[in-house]
Amino acid sequence: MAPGSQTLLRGIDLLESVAEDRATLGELAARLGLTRSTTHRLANALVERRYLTLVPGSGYQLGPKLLWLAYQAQQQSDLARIARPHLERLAEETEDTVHLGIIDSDHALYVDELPGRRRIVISSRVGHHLPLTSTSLGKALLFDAEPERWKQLFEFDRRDSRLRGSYRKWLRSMKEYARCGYTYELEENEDQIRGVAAPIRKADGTITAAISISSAAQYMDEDRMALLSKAVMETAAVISANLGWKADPYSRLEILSG
Amino acid sequence: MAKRGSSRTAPGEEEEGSSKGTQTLDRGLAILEQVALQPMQRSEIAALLGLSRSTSFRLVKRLVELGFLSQARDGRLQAGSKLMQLGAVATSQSDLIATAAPHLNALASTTGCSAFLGRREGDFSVHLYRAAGTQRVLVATPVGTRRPLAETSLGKALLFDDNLTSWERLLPQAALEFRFENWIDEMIQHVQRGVVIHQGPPPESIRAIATPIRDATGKIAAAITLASVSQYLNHPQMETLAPKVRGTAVAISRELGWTEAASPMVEQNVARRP
Repeated sequence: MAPGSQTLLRGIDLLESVAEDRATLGELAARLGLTRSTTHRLANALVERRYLTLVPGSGYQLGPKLLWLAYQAQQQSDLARIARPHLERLAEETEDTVHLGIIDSDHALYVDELPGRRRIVISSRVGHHLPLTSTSLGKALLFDAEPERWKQLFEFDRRDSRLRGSYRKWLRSMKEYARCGYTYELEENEDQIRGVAAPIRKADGTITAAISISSAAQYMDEDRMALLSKAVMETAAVISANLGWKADPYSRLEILSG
Repeated sequence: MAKRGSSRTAPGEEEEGSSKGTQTLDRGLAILEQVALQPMQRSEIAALLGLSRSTSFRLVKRLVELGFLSQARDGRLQAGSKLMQLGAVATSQSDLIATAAPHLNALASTTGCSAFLGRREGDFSVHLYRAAGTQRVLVATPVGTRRPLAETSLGKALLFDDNLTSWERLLPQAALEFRFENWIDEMIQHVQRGVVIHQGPPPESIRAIATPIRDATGKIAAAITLASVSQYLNHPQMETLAPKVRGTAVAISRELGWTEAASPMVEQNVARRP
């Protein structure tokens, strides 16, 4: 280990352990293989800076500083700030989970999330890197990429044996998605999770991000997904317009007929 | 400055010479917070936090490796994906009622009055929690009660950030006895002081002190109110209790991630007014 960063590493291990599940001091010490006194000293430092909260009788839980950091991080991005109110409206209208994501090191990186309001909601994807070729958001991010890159990413993602399907079939659906302006995720990334996504374009016309609506499969039959595809394209168009993109009137006609 | 090489101490011992033994953790977190406030170059961090260049570079390197910071295309450091994940977990675990309840219980038991938590739902205020006071006559509005915003003390506190147009739209939704003539003028005063001093119509003549709760976004997330009947809560008493109610709201807001720095609890609404 590099000298002089041990407490930082341990403190962050401790934070991540509490993020998995709230815990008492004894439980944390056991999980991390540290002495009680070391654990106590680290936890105290984290409580003092409000990364953790000690709840009497139940142990440590994540603290308000992380809420603040999450909000600050989101505010740093012009894209996230501009998209936020539109995503809020979309989440309110649909009651499903709404995501904003970008391409980051050959993955879809989820940068903002409005949780669904249904009785069954999907787990958080914020800060997670998911495959581009098996998520609705990822596919929308790839609309303008060259076919060779599609193939390369498809094969890259299929190194994960969970992901199945032939490239020919995938390619056919991708061409159709790109023509219509939206994408579907039909439980190919995670069982029981479906989604609909559309790309966001900036002033120069390139795709800079994508938004998606996701829910458990029971809320996402074919008819509803068709309706959601209109909603997600409309919201994506509004955000794109706010970023300076001017829609080509002919491409709009195609969206409407598609 | 960290003592180099001193991490090769016995397991469980900390490596640095700080009194608490958590100096690198504290410094690492301070770096995270600085970068979250404002993306910056590596070289700016050392100066800003008063660290040596080598210490700050080493900690930044660690934080980047851990995914808590990342480097933007322009070279500036920004919040990393791991930090976003932790923030999302914290957000999903954050529970307004569970956070507010102990504070409201304490407020109710020290004042004897009932304390309530409420949230806005469209044009209504909804009571989410009640901490019963100890007085012999108590305000007992049940949880789940939905009232037009302009009628209740909670509702008025929830309206602090709305503009005059919105107030004028919502006021006619209140029952006639709540729509006294100088409602708008009084609201302006409430916003300026940061608390609602509420006097309900007879026969109950409920008196209440209400104020908003803010979250990490700086927006109003909810409101609290301390309510009683006029024989227990005269005007001088309301003045005395107002700072206590505000103090409780600040404590709850902080637990929801609100900070003074990000969004002053002083309401900007009045300043926006013509």
